[in-house]
Parts: sequence; C-alpha cells; structure tokens
Amino acid sequence: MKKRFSLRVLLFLTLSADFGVLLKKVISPVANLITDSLHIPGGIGTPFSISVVAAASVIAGIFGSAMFMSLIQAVTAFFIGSVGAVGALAVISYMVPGLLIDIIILLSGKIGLSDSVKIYLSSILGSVAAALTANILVFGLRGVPLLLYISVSATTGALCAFLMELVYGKIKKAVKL
Amino acid sequence: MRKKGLVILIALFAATALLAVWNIHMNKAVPEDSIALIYNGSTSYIKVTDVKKEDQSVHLVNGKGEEVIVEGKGIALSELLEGYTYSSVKVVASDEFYATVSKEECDHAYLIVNSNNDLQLAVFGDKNSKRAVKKPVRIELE
Repeated sequence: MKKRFSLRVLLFLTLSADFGVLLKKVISPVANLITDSLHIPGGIGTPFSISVVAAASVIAGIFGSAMFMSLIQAVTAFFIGSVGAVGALAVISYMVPGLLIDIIILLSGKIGLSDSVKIYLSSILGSVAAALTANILVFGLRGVPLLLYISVSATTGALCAFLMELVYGKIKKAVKL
Repeated sequence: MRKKGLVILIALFAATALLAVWNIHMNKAVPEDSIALIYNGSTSYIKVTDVKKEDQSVHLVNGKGEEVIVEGKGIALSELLEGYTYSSVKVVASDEFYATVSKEECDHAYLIVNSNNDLQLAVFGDKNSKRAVKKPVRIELE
C-alpha cells in the first residue's frame, strides 16, 4: 500500500525537523571554533540538521518528506533567529538540500539500495548541496577554501550519517510509521 | 554498512585534513597584524599598527532593526586607499567571508578596532550588519 502523509507522519517529520534545528543550534558554538581555526565560514552545524532530515525521510518513506522538513526547519530557524549569514535566503538554503534528499531517496529506492546507504548518500550529498547553496548565495568562496568548505561539510555529513545509522533501527521500530 | 561507513568517514577526514593544512598554509602568507592589499594583480601589505587611526563612531542596524554603534580607533577606507584608482573595494576576512564597498561609500566605510580589540569593517548606516567583516586579511581593489 502506498504511504501517505497522515497526521502521525506529519507530526513525526515536524518534531524531527525541529530536533535537527535544535541540534544545529547546540553544536554551533563548538562548530564555529573549529571552522574559525580552519578559516572557513561554516560547514559543521548544518550537516547535523540535514542528517536528521535524511534519516527521518528514510523512515517516513514518502517523497516530499525532506522538502516538508526543510520548510519546517527554515521557518523555525527564522523565528529563533538562527538563519546565520544567509538571512532571509535561508528558505532557499534549506529547501535545495531537502529537494536533493527526496530525489536521492527516491532514486536509491528504485535501484534497491538499503536504508543505511540512503542515509549516507542523502546526508553527505545533502550537506554538500547546503554548502554549495550557501556559497552561491553568500560566501562566494573559490579555490582551496571552497574545496575545504565542501570537504568539511561532506565529512560532517558522513559522521552524522554514521551516528544516525546507530539509532535509525531503534527509531524506526519505535515510531512504527 | 557500518564498516564501509567508517572507511568513507576516514577517507573524507583524511582529505579534509590535507585541505585544512593547505588552507592554513595559504593564510600564513599574510604577515601578522597586516592586511594584504591587492591592486592591479600585485600584492602589498598594510601594517595595521602603523596606520594612523582616529576615534570613530559608526551606526549600524542589526537583524532586529535596532541601532548598533561600533566605536573605536579607525580609519576611513577612502583615506587608507588614497592614491589608488578603483571603483569598488572587496574586504575579505580570514574565513573568506567578504563585503564589497563602492568607491562612493568609502568615505563612510571604516576599518575600526572594535571593543573586542578586533579589526572590523563598519559601513555607516548598514542594515543587518551584513558588511561587518571581522578580522579582515585582504583588501582587493577592483
């Protein structure tokens, strides 16, 4: 049977989205210390919120889940003043990775990849997409700093996917969507 | 997948470490307490401590629409760049965040040593402090 956005699914996605924003907010001070020392404008906080979007979207298994969560995250970030350097363009910087995550999960499902691979792919590529979007919208990095910014985002995305994989099975069992 | 994930993570971490070393090495090219000035493809260095600074008070507007005043010893960009021909100035921080100031704005755009003892760019009347580049390391004249 085809899954649809029931109230239960929407609540799960909304809570997960807000948890992602909270995680980003909590990790930000430490992340800023690291990125300052690397001379790059970011790339560590965002993958934390993106990996939550990736894992929750895989659990929900409905196309559009990541975009829905990204929209929730953009609105929440806007209201708690956590939009960072992108300002009002935060909606775009959240929605682009969301769309990409939805597409990755859809395509990897069609070729029969496991849920773990889906989480890794969407978390890493979603983080890279977020970094590239922020770079286009605000930072305008070039050369080595841009490569480092993307690399830091991808590495943090992979680390978050690794952590998500540890808890994914338990959450999926608990929420029973 | 957990083992494969760990391998991917280690590979990415190694690549990041290499790039970080390269990037930090590139940043060390600018001497301490100096700003690189790039003009017509050549680079010179401005020693910040040698620049004659005067008391400045620059009014900005923060993200909440409140007025913020940046005070400290500073110099107008127009004064700092006297003698150079340019149409706009790009002020770049060590994390490559940058702001562009047009020649017309340079009279009321200042490099100020703020209350945290950090050098920062402050453009009078700027909304949302968007051009408040902190710890600039490079000025590019365009």
